[in-house]
Amino acid sequence: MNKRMRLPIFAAAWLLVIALSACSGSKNNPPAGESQPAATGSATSTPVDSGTASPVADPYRQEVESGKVTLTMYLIGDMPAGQEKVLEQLNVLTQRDINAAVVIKNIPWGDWQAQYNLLFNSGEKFDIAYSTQWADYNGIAAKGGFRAIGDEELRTFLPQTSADLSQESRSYLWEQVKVGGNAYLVPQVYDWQNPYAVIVRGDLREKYGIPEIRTYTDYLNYAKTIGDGEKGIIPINTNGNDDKNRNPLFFDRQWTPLAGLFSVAVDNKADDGKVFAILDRPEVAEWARLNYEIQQAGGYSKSALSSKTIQDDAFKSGSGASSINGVNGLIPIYLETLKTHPEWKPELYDIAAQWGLAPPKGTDGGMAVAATSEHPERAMMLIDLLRNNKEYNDLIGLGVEGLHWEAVGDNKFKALEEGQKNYGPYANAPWGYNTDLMRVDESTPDFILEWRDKWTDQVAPTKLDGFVFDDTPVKAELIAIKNIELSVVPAIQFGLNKDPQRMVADLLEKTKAAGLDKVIGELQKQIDAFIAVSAQ
Amino acid sequence: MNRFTDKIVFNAAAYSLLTVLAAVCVLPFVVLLSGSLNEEQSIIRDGYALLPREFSLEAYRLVFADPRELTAAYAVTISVTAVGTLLGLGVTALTGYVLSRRQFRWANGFSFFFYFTTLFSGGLVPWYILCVQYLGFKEAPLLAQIVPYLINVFYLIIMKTFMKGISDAILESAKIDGAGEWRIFARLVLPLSKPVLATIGLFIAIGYWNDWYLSFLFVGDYRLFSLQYYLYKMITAMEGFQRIAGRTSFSISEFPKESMKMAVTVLATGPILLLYPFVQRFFVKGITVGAVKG
Amino acid sequence: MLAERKVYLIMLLPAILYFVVFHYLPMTGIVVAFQDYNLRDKFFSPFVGWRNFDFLLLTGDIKGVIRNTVLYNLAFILLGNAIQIAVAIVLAEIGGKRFRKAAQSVLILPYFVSWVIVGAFAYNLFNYETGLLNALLTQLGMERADVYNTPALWPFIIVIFALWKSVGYGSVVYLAAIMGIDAEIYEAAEIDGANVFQRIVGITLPSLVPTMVVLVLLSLGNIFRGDFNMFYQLVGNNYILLPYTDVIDTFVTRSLLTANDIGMSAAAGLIQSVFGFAVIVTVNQLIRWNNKEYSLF
Repeated sequence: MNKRMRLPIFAAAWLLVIALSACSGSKNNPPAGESQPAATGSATSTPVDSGTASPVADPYRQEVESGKVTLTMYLIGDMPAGQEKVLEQLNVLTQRDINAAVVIKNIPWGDWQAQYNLLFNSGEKFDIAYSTQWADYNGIAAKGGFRAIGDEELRTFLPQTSADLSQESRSYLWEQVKVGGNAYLVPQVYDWQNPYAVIVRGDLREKYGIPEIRTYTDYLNYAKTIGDGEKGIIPINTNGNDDKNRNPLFFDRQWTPLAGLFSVAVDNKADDGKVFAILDRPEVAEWARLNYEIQQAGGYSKSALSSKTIQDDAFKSGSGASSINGVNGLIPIYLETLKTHPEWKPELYDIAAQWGLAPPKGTDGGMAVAATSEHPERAMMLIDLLRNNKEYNDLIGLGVEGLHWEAVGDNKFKALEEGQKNYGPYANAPWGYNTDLMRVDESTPDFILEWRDKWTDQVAPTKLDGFVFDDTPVKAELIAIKNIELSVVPAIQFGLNKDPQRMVADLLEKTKAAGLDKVIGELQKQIDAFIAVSAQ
Repeated sequence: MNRFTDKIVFNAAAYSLLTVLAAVCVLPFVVLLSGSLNEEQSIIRDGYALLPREFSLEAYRLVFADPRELTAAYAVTISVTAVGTLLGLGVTALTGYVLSRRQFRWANGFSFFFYFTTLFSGGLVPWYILCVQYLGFKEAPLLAQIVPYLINVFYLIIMKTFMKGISDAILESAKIDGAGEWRIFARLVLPLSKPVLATIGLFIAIGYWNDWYLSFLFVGDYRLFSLQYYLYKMITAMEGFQRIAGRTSFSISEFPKESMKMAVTVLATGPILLLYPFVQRFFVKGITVGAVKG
Repeated sequence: MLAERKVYLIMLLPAILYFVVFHYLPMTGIVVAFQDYNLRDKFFSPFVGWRNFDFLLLTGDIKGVIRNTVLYNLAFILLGNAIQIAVAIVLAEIGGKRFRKAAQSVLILPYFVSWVIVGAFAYNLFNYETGLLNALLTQLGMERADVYNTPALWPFIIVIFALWKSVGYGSVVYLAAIMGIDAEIYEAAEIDGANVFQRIVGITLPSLVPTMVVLVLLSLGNIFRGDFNMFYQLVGNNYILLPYTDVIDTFVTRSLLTANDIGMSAAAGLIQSVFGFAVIVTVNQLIRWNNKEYSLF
């Protein structure tokens, strides 16, 4: 009897579960479903690629006519609230042009690495993913997570990209994304870069007679003076994980760091490809000493290492007096403080680009086709359109025209209120398909536009551009060194030790014990080989 | 010490201990509440406080400006918690009962078989592959947020330990009266185990309520995110981005505001507190065993 | 007897199924600790011997990290259980019913606040420039305390936070155990003239022993694991404090932050498992010899 009693309860519970999951299943793919009615209206007759000129090869047509597919695209970064409307419209376009529906999945910033890596490690089926060097593009490509894109496929299924990359000034990008001879990434192209800049308070700078800021060291000296003079303000108010403040000698491009390490670099001026440990250089000793003085003067928080403070926020609230960031991130802060605190006289300074910029790298960002994709050709077509078709590029980057933004001429835009709230300009992970098509916010101050024009001329190539380190032979050493750096360098950065020189020496000793010389040896070997090949 | 002084001494000590502890425990919640009602810039500038320095409802206004995600998250979390707790408690009680039977010779072996899994695991990736590729969890996001946490070995063993405390004599006499195992379990063991059922039920419910990880792993559709994942995304966004900020070619200047994070924490914690008094009803001293015996 | 066993096995079936599917099948993935995992071959990737374990030894202070992990866990287990028992007893014996219920509800609050938020609280409490503690100290005319640069304070701070977060939650189990004690025993003791304290020492505490032994045993299996979030959110990557606060999980996470190497993380996990297994089997055996009833298995 009891058996009879128990069973229905369990059965009912399971039914509930199944019912719940069934209704969730149907909710799961609305983008395709919802957009269908709208799509079918315009689908049949419109030719592919109404806008741009590149001729469409026959296999392209055949692929489009081979049936409707659904493409799943993963982007890194939280989903903007307005995405649904954008996706709806995007599906109209893709239905019309390539007979495909698109589903966008956003990987939220919190713990994005775990989720992103899991996507590949588990062999999940999807079609397109954003990839870049900081998301381990080379590693995932080498392990077999992406599908190779052959040169022939580039011409056939990515015709506009192919045309773009065949320009002499850009052809090197396609070579740079090759891993083991195959390309796996459709690289974006910058119209302009996003070099580091600092924002400071002009009123304080003038009050203490500090000259204008040109270098990172100038910036540190500003922090020292303000920290000393203004009690209650922490000029560089940031946290221990903020490594934007960590690469002093890399800003003005004296050195370029290698293998993602702090301790190893090459000298750009010499451009001899000679790898060295930076820690016994006087420049680093000087940096450590200055940091100590800043800490003593109150320029950094004493608790910075465990802090959660975000430098941008601290600046805006007045508890800090500066922020360092990519210039594109600082512009909105600059504009905001001009409005909220005009008396601060906020000032933006270019501390990096004026010293020459490295040319954009192919692996800086782009879109890749997943190895597990069942429709790789169609995926390539979508990437091609997102990257090179103005209609697509505007839509995914800025949202729905008239709702989120409105055009100001051919290459500028004005963000509308709805856009600022729900689809911030270039907020939806657009870094995979930046091209010349990208529009400039019309509120951008003129001096920034001038900077950008100037920076293009300041690109200074070196022999090592495009070099990618294959870390497999020294993987354990690299991991050990990174662990040590991650714990020691922030302490030096915030000057939190009575004897900064000792600390630098200590770091050198520890990293050496962990195999720094072996890493340098391996780097040197690969760099020599790279230079020898590119010299030919 | 006479009979009254001991009670006075004990109660004096007990009240002061609990008052201090309760104060320490309630304090952060007060700070949270006040933070959620505080003006954003003031939090960043001056830190948290017990009372809002500059009162503002902006955080709640922001949260409720587009409440679709939040209400959907509530619906998901409530249904997952309800179904998960019911199923989980059922299976845990049943299994715990078998493991507690002294005449079941394999009980020890099975205890070890279950316990072993808390020590060794193959890691996330193989488990994830199993769930996604063989069990299709991505296509059944609600099921995926329930099934993996159905049985927790710790709760199982606590259950077993409590059920061992039920006097064998009662169960044996029932058996002599001709009751089968199922009947003994349902009619004797379950009623006798009210406090532990309430405890474990509470734990399982809290586990489901507090979980963000299964959403993080299996759910792609924001309408099926759990409440805690909705909160987790918000709280960790900045940190996740900052890890790469130094190496990227782009910048983000807008992240969820401090006051908003606190408002959502308040909203996510509030409801489960209502569950607690309900559970407390089962904590009535000594009724069970004694009553049956008598 | 056989029929009975069959019923028991049927009752166990859901659990067995669950553990086989969700735990034992994926457990085969342990092999990646010895492989150079790639996405084509997955779990049939080439074997590399012990190479995935190298990084643990190269970094230098792994010994200190293991010591920290074990000591912290011992402190959590011993103090945690002691306080939870004390609170449970007080809750069970206290006179005011309303007060008891209110206190019980309030005590469980910290359990719901995520470590990220707790970390932010701690920072607001202890930071040098604007922290509440220093605001208080300066008002009392005392020197500011530089908490985030004083490593010796941190074992206390971390233990206190851990206890604070778990006290309400953990005491529920003990409270349930007290509720299960036969009321007649108490009545008899009262008639014999035992006061509150004698009752607690003579009846309540001994009755809690089985629960306590089980809970302690359960935690001992995880003595080589640390709650990453707790340590990371409270301390961050604070080099000054690390000698006192670095545990295996923070150490491994820091190492593999950018590496995306599941072989190495499996290797670290395997070491924690093997050590934990050795500890639990030994202790369980010791307890078995002593009193079979109390052992886990």
